[in-house]
Amino acid sequence: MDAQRRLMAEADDIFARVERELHDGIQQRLTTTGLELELIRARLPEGDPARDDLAALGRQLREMAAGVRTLSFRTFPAILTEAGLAPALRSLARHATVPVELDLPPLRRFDALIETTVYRLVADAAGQAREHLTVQLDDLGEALRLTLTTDGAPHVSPVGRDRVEALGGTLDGGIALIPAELHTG
Amino acid sequence: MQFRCLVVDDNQRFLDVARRSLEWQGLESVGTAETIETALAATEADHPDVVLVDVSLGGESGFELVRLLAARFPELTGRIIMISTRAEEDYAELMEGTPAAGFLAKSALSVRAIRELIPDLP
Repeated sequence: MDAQRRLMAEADDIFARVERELHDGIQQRLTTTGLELELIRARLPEGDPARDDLAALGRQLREMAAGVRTLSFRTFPAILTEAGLAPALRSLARHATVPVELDLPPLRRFDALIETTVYRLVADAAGQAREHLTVQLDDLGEALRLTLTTDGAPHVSPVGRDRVEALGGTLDGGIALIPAELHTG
Repeated sequence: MQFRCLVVDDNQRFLDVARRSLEWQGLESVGTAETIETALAATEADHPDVVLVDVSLGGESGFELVRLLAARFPELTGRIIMISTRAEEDYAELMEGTPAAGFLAKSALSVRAIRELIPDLP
């Protein structure tokens, strides 16, 4: 089980690192270059044809930045690391293509593997739900209980199931029980 | 009269461009800071009318800086703007409950955009 967790943690770290690189590196540079371009454009005299050319270049940079932003969101939910499960799930619900209803208590922070696993289960179910999805999370102290209710049986990907089992949790229909603390050994 | 502005970001290149851009648009005093500590010191020393704070300050959190600024400098109430490379909707969840007056995408940074968020600036 420890080996599985190490593999999970490594994969999660890689995605999180790529997301950070996309955002802090590429997107940041595109934005700054766009501002510099605008500064050069503003200094050119009215009627200078280069003004239109620079404006067109600026639009291209903004489109590239928007593309990187979408890619970075799909790569890893940065908000999960920054702010924990509740804000990340609210963000996920807003981006979902079907209505997602959240029933969340005030949540403490959990091990990154646990938070990413819960997020993944909800994301999988939201991605496959046809009409709606209800997400209920209960902090039972020693375990986290995630209850997914949707039209038909909630979709759980094989990887989602693997992740729950690697954490020592159980999955039954749309109900996942995941230990709140990870013990080694 | 133009308002005094402090920009806080961990990216030196952005700070440089932001300062040049805001000065070009007429601001006479644009300070910059890269960390929570230097931002607090600059606020203490320069009394900016508005502070722009990047959501992520390297290892530090911009939200934490906003809380500290609001607590230590009550005159900055409603005068702090969060900025980010990301779009506002990416941070909607985190903006709730911060004492910041609003949010501005870095690509939309301008004196006019700042004034739209804080209409009562000098």
